[in-house]
Amino acid sequence: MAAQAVPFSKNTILPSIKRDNSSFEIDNAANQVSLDDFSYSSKLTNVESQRIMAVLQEIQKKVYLMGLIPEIMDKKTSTVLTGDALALIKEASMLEQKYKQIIEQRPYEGQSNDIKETTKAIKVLTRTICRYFLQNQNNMLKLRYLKSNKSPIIAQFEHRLQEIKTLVYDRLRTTVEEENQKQDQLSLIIAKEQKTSSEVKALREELEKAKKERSGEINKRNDIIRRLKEELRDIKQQAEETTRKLESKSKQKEDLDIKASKEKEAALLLEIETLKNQLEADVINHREEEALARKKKFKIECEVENWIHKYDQDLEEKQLEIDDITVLFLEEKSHLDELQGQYAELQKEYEIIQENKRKLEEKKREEENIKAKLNAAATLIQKIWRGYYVRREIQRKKDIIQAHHQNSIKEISEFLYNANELRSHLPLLETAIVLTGYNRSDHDSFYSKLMENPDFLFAKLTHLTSLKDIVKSINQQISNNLELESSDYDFQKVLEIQQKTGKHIIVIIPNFEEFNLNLLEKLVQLLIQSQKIKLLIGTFTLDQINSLSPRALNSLVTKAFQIENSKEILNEITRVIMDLDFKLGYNPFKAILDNFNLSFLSIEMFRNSIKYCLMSYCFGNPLLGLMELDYDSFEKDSFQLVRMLPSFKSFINNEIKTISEEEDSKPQIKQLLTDDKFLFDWVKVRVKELHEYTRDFNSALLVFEKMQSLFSTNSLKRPIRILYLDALKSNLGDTDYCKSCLLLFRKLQLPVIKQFLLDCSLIVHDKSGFLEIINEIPDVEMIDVEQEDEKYIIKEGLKRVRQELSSTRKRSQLDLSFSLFENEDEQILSKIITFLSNYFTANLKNYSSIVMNELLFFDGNVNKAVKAEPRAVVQTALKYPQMYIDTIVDTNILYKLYLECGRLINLQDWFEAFKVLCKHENME
Amino acid sequence: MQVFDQIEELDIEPNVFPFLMKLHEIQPQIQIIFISFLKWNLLQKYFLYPQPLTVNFQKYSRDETIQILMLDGKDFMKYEQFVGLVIDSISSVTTNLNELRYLCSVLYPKYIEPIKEGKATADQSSKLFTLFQRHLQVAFNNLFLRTMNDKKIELPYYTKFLLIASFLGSFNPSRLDNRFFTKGGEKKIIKHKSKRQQLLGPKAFDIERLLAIFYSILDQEIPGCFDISTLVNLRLLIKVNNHLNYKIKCNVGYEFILIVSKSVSFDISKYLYDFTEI
Repeated sequence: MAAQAVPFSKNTILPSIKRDNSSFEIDNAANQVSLDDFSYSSKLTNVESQRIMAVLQEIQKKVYLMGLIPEIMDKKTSTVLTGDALALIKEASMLEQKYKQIIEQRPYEGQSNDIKETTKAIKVLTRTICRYFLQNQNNMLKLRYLKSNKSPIIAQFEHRLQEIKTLVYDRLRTTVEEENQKQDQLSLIIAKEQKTSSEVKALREELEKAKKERSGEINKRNDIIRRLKEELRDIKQQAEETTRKLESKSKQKEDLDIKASKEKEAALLLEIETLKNQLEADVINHREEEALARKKKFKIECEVENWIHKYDQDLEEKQLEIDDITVLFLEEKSHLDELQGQYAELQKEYEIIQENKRKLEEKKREEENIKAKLNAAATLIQKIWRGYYVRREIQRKKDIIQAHHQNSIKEISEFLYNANELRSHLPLLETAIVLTGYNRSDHDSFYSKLMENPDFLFAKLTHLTSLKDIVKSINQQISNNLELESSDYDFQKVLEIQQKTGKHIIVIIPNFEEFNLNLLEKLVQLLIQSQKIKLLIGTFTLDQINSLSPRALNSLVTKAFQIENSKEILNEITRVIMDLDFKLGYNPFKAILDNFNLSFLSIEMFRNSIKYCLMSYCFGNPLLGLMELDYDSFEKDSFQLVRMLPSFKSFINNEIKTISEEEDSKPQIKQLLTDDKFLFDWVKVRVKELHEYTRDFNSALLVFEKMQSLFSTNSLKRPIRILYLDALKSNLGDTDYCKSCLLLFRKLQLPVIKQFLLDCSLIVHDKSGFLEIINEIPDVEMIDVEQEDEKYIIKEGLKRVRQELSSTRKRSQLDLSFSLFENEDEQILSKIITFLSNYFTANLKNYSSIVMNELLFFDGNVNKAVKAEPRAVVQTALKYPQMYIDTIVDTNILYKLYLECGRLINLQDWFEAFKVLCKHENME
Repeated sequence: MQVFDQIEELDIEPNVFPFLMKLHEIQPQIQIIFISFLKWNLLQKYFLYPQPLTVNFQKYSRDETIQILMLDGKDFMKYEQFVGLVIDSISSVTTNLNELRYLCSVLYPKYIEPIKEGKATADQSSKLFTLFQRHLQVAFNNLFLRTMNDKKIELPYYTKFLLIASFLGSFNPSRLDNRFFTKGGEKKIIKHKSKRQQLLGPKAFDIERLLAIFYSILDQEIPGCFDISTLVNLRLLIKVNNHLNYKIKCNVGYEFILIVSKSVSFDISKYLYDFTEI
C-alpha cells in the first residue's frame, strides 16, 4: 500500500496506461522515450545513477526493436527485407519454434541440456539481430514499416519496462534522509489515525448499546402498564357480577326458606291436632279394658278356690281304692309261687329228653358223612383209574403211529446205509427226500422214531441262518450223541468224529420249505466231502426240491419216500377207539373227524381232541361208578340221575305201552322207579348187556369192512372211520348202502365167500351162526377167469381190439359159470345174503336205541373245544369286552375306531372317545 | 500244495483271492491250484493278476463218458448198449456226468423191464428201444428236475379251497372280483390291454381279500380256523411284508392248482380271467 501511495511524477503518466493501446500510440511512446532519455540522465547527480538509467534506456530501445521483428514470414517481409536481415529473422523464428516445442515437452527433465542450448542460441541470435539492426538504420526503417501491429504481450512488456524506468528514476533521485523523514511522518500519521478510528468505533458501540437498553426498558414498562390496566378492568367486572349473583341467590333462598317454614308450621299444627284426638281416644279405651281385666281376675280367683276343694275330695276317694287292691294282690301272689314250683320240675325232665335226641342225631350225621366220604373216594379212585386206563389206551395209539412209520423208516435207513456204492468215483450226496404230509406237528413222532436208530449219528437242522451256525449245530448234536463236549465251527471236526466212530452221519432238514436255498446249496458242497455223510430232507412236495440250482441238484442222489398217509393212521386209531371201554357218540366223533378232514389233517390234534373227550367223559359223568362200584359204596342221590336219563325214560315208556295188559311186569317197573337197590342190580345187568352190544357191534363192523375189501371196484368201499361214523349215526344194517353192498357181495364166487365167512367166524364172538352157514356151502373149485394174453402186441389199436374181445369173452365165461351152478348156488347165496343182512341189522344197531347207553357213550358237545375260532373270538372280544372283563379297555375303542375310519386313526379321537366313556361310567 | 475248487465262488470275499495270489511270494513252498468253470479272463473281471499256468480239461468224449458210466454197472445186462442209447439221446442237451448217472440209474430198470417180464428178449434191441422211448421222453421233460412220481396232494378240505382262493387272488385283477364272486355280478367282459398276470407272475394281495374269495367259492357254512401260516411255512403261499400290513401271494403253479381243484371237484377255469393253459 505504501508503494501505491507513492505519487507518480508528471512524466510517468503515460498514454500506455490504457491496456489495449493502438500501435500508433506505442510508436509515439517510443519516440517519447527516445526524447526523454536525456532529461532522465541530466537531472541525476550521481554518476552511478546516470549509468543505471542509460542501461535501462538501452534495454528499452532493444526491446522495442525486438518487438518490431515480424513473427510470421510472409511474402511482404521477404520482399521488403533482403539478405542478412531476412536470414536472421528466419533463424529467429525457427529457434523460437524450437524453443516452444521444448517447453511443451517440458515434463522430461532430461532435456534440460537442449533447453540450455536453445536459450543460449536464442540469446546469441537476439544479440546479433539487435547489433545488425542498430547498425543498419535502413533496415530498421523497413522493419518499422513492416511491423504495423505488435502483439499485445510485447506491448505489455514494453509498458512494464517503461514503468520500471520511471520507478528507478524516482528512486535514484530521492535521498536517504528525505526518505526516512517521509517514512516517519507517515508512520506517525498512520498511528494517530488508527487510534482515533478505534476510539470512534468504541464510542459508537457504546452509544448503540445505550440506545438499545433504553428502548427495551421503555417497551417493558409499557407492557406492564397495559397489563395492569387490563387486570384492573377485569377485576372490576368480576366484582360487579359476583355481587349481582350473590344478591339474587340470597333473595331466592330467603324466599324459599320462608315458604318452607310456613308449610312446616301448618303441617305440625295439623299433627298436633290429630295426636291430641288420638290421645283422648286411647285414654278412654284403656280405661274400659282395665275394668274388664279386673272383672276377669276376680272370676278366676273364685274358680281356683273351687278346684282346690274338689281335689281334696277326690284324693280321699282314691286312697280308699288302693287299700282294697293291695289286699287282693297279696292273695294272688301266694297262688303264683305254688305254680312256679311245679313248672321247674317239668323243665328238668324236658331237657334230659332233648339231650338224648341230639346225641342220636349227631351219631346219624357222622355215619352219613363217613359214608359220603367213602363214596366220593371210591368214585374218585374209579375216575382216576379210568383216566389212567384210557391214557394207556391213547399211548397205545401213539405206538400205532410210530409203528406205522416203522416201514418207511426201515426203507429210508436201508437206502441211506447202502447207497454209497455209487460213490466210488464221483462226488455225490445220497439224499432221502421224505414226503412228509401237510401237518408239521405230526412229523415229530416220525423223526424221533427215525433218530432212535443207533447205526447212525443224526443232526437235525432247524431255524439256522448261516453255514457257520449249521456246522456248529451239526457238531453239537453229533458230540451230544457221543456224550462229548464240542461246539466248534470247524467242519473238519465233524469228519474226525465220523472217522472215529465209523458211523454214518445223517443230516436232517425237517422242513425244507423253511430252509434257505442258498444255504442248502452250500451245505451240499460241504457234505459232499465225506462219503459217509447223508442228507435227509423232509418236504411237502417234490416241486420244491426243483427250485434248487441244477448244480446242487445233480450232486444229489435222491430217492423219494412217503411216510404213512395220515388217513391210514387215522383208520388205525379208529380201530383202537372202537376197542376202548369208553365210546364216542356220533356228534363228538363227527366234530373231531370233520376238524381233521376239513381243517388240519393233524393226527396230533385228533389225538388231543379224543383225549379231551375222554377227560370230559371221565370227570363229567357222576354215573361212572355204577359200572364198577357195589351198591353200598354208591351215592344214593345218583339214582335219581339214573332215572332222569333219556334212554331210561323212553325204556319205561315203552314198557308201559307194550306190557300194559300183562299185570305181572308192572310191579317191576314200579320197583325200578322206587327201589334203589333193585335199580342198581338192574343197571348192572344193562351194563353187561351194553358191553356185549359194543363187542358185537365192533365185530360186525369189522366183518362189514372185510366184506368190502373183497369188492373189485372202489366205488362202494369206505374206510373204517367212515363206516364207524355211519354206524354211529343210524342203523347201518338198514341203510340202502348196506343193501347195495350185499348185492355186490352176491356177485362174488362161492369159494371166496366161504373163505370170507371162515375168516369172519374168527372175528365174531358168537360163531354158531357163521359155522352153520359155512357147513351148508358145498366145496366148489375156484374158476379161473383170468385169461392171460402173453402175446406181444405192437400196434396199440390192435391191442385195444384184443382187449375188448377178451373182456367180452370173460363176461360170457362168467355168465356160464353162474348158470352152471344156478340152481343150488342161488339158493345158498340168497341164504347167505339173508343171514348176513340179519346179522348186520341185529348187530349194527345204533347206540341211541340201547338202554343206559349214556353210561358208556360220550355224546357231549365238543364243537367249541375242537373247533377253535381264534379270529372270531378275538373279534368278539374286541367288540364286546364287557363279556370278558368289567372295565373299559382303550384297545376296544381303538378297534371300533379302526372299523369306522380304517387304518389311520386320529389320536385325539381316540382320547376323546375314551374320555366320554370314562365320564359315562362315572355317572353310572 | 493247496487245491481250490470253484474259485468263482471266491469273489464274495474280495480280499481272499489277492491273498492267495501273493501267497507264494511269502511262502514259496506253497503251491496253489485253482479249479474253475470259468476261463481266466472271465475271472479277471474281478482279479487283475497275471495269468497263472493254465491247464484246460477237455470235455469227455462219447466213449469216455460210456466208460465212466459203465463203472456203475459193469455186471448189468445190456448196460453198455443202454448207456450208449441214453447218451446219444441226451448229449445234445447236457453232458453233465452227474445228471447222466442219475438218468441211467433211474431209467435202467425201465429199460430192462420188458426183458424181466418176458415181453422181449435181450437180443431184441429195437423192440426194447420202442418200449423204452416213452420213458425217455418223460426223462427229457424232467431233465434237471427230480420229480418222477406224481403223488396225490394231501391237504385238508378247507385248506385246498384256501389255496385255490389265493391262486385266484394272485392272478385275477381285483377289479373283476365283483364279476366272478358275486351272484348277480356283471357279466360283460371288458378287454383290458395291460399285460397278462399269468405272464407277470403272482401278485400280492390282502388277507381280507383272500378270505372274501374263500367264502365266496366255498359256498358253505363258515368253518372256524384257517391255517394260513402253515401254508406260508410250506411255501405254498409267500408272505410279503409291507410296512403297514401283511400281504400274501400264491406260490404254486397252474398244474398244481388244477390237481387240487380237481380233487375237490371245483372248476377253477370258470373263475380265472385271461388265463390260458401253457
